[in-house]
Amino acid sequence: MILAFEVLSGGTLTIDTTACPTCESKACATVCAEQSPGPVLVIGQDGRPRLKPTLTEVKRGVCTECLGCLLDCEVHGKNAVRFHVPLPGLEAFVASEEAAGRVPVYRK
Amino acid sequence: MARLYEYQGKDLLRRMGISVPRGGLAHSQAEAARIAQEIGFPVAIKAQVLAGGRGKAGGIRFAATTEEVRMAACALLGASIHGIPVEAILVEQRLALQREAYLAVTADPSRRQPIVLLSLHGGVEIEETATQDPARVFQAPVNIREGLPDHVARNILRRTPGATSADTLALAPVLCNLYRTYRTYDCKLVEINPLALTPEGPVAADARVDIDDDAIWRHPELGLTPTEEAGRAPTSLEVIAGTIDQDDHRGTTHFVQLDPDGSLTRELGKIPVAFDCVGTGASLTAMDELVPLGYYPVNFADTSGNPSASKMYRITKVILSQPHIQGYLFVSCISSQQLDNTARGIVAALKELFPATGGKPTIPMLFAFRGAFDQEAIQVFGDHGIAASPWVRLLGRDVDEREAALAFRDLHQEWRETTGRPG
Repeated sequence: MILAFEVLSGGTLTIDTTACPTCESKACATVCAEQSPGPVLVIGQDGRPRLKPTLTEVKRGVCTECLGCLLDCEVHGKNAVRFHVPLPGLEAFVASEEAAGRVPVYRK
Repeated sequence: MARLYEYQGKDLLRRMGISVPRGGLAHSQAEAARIAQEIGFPVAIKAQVLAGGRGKAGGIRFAATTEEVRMAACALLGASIHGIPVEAILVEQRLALQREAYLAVTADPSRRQPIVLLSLHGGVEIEETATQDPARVFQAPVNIREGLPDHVARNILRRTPGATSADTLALAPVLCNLYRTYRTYDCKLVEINPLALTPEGPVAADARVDIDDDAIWRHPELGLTPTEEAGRAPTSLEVIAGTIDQDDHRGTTHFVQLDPDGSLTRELGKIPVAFDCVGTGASLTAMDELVPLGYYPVNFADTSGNPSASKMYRITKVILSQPHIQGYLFVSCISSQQLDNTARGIVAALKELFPATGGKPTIPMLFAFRGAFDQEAIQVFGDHGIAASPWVRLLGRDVDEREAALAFRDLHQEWRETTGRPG
């Protein structure tokens, strides 16, 4: 079961909630509750995260894009959160630099 | 601010009803020759670079024949004006100037309103004129609610020293249209210097148009890329960084490459490092401390105003994509910025860029978190194991910029000795 929602920056947060009922930490909701203006992710009766605001509200910026759910789920939960945000042109730039022998430090 | 090239500025003025010389943009000798033949001789050939003092630097040539056009184009294309390579030239009709005037509209922060600057003694020496004889550059504030209708423009011209009745009649429409350009395109500055007073009427012989950065999105028709003003065409990475603030105005990510190809750093004998700061003041102070220690920040970055972690994630990826870097410094000023969010963005980027080590970088990185939630920011690095990296130093609010720079030097030296990398 996938929970996916768009955020203001144009990115998309995707949570594979398959393993969430067995997650003891519920780290995504815990960190989200600390953010102003309040939680975006809450835990439903089935033990999986769900959105508290509407998709439209989230897209308008209710989600502050703190990336807490992404990072805390990785460390304390089931590593179920993925975040994709566009950065147009970066991959092509890196590829062209590499072709010219200018390799970024993180690719060496 | 987004500064337009001369040819772009003239196109804007032409659209707003101000006469400009006939001409076209060329990228080759053949193209320049074709344009010159179409518009007729004599012509002016002008290097298109975002730099002042272009004429004095040899960036403007005149030609009376096709061969002369080719020679001028050959001399200019690929040349460097104030360190900026010339990639295009404007070929346009050479004007028969009788007199030169200066016209500009800009914002006056002290009055908090637009202001018209006008002189009947225009030309390349206008700055000197303004310094030596300020009275010859007439200033008139504009009531932004009233705008600049024809009668107001005429009143301004009547009060302008040296303006005749004929000048008033000729220049009033230009002034009205210049103000209209300023308002329509959200300009910070729109300037004609010189405005050539010819027998056929006033013609804008040059044009400088600076658009307010924050208004670029209102003018997609201009096709501008939202990059920082760097006095040159934006680099690929600057264009990429410019998209980060496109749809999300929560905090800002400013990014300018100071030495895109690393040549300046090599010439200076310095060590290239990537750089990010919260706050421009802290940024400049930290840079000032780094340079005497033998390092050169190959970019300027300011990520302040409480940007989201998502923005920090993206800008960190951009900053670390610069080739040649031998280190990275992040220094925040003491601010109300929520630094744990800042740290999450950086950590997310590091984990993606250095997956084999779980986010631990292969070059020295120093992070000085000073301000709101600084301890939480340092904790984020600890939670993800990155704090345990031998090449990461995390500092708190008890250090100043000099101490941060010195700590980075120690870390870099240790990294160099351990890895055998050249410094």
